[in-house]
Amino acid sequence: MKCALKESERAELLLRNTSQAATNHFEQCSSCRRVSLEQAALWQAMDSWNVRPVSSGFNRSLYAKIEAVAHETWYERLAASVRPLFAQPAWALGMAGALFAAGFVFDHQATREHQTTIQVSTTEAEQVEKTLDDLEMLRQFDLVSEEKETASKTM
Amino acid sequence: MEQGVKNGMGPITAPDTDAQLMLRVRDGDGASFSLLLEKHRSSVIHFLYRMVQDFAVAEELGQEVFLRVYRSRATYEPTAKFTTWLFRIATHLALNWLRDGRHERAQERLDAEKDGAPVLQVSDRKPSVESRMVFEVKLNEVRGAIASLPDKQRAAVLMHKYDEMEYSQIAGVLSCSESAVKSLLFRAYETLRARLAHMA
Repeated sequence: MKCALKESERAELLLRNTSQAATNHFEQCSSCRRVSLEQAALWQAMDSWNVRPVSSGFNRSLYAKIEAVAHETWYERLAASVRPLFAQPAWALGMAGALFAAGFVFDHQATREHQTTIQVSTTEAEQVEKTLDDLEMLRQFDLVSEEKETASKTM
Repeated sequence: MEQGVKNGMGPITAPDTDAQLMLRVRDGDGASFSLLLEKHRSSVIHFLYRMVQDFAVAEELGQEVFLRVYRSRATYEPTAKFTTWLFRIATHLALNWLRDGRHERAQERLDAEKDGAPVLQVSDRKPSVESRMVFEVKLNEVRGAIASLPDKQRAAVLMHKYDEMEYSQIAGVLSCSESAVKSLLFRAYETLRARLAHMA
């Protein structure tokens, strides 16, 4: 026979199998009664798992650590608070990615500035060259006009 | 520090709750920290031991739990039950430990356990070799079945069975709803019943 109750209702009854509602239900439902007996046996088996007492040196060791914490400098405290983040691979990878991205952006900007500087330098050189050409042309004009003046005077 | 914690702030007048003790720790009362430690040390370490199934690791993690409690004293606010907060720290550390080294330690965990072995508790004061062996085999099966549960189910079962926590408290520790806790427990016990059916 299959139980008509929802899973959550069955869970409630089986996990509190000593309640009156559970007892009433188990009287009518053979499926849940069987599961309830199995659950009781499981809990009994789990009861056999005892754990030995805590070591006698536990407190001494803990207080030594607390003592060390009390004498920590501010940067040691800061390092201790962020250390768990780096213990997780996702955080470490995220931080590495962020650093890489920041490095890329910085490097890219520096390259762009460098290119601008080269462009400015090229323009300046061209301007100087042009000015020198202009000066040379003016000098030649002067020479031609001087020659003309000399020729007119001798005539 | 041990001296300071134990003798530092005068006599303790039977505090009402753990949260009140923790508030005193926040105000600099080291003796209250000692009281909290004595009260919860065993339950925290036993929970951790059943989670990681290595007693030395459980004690190491237990120290980290109480160290974090001490470190957090200045910012402590009693928004939840103290034990919920304490077990949340413990569960978080245990789950991290399991996640970080599960593959390396899985085999070790199943084979080892000699140093954390439980005390044999049977009515006969001098159990025979046979009964001891039967006990060990059954115990190993229980431990193995619990170890094979998914982490959250395992934590929920241990808190429910061995620490007798309410659903609401387990929900607080695992940061989920009460109905999710019931579902976790139902499925976990279903798995355990199936695996240990032959022991019934």
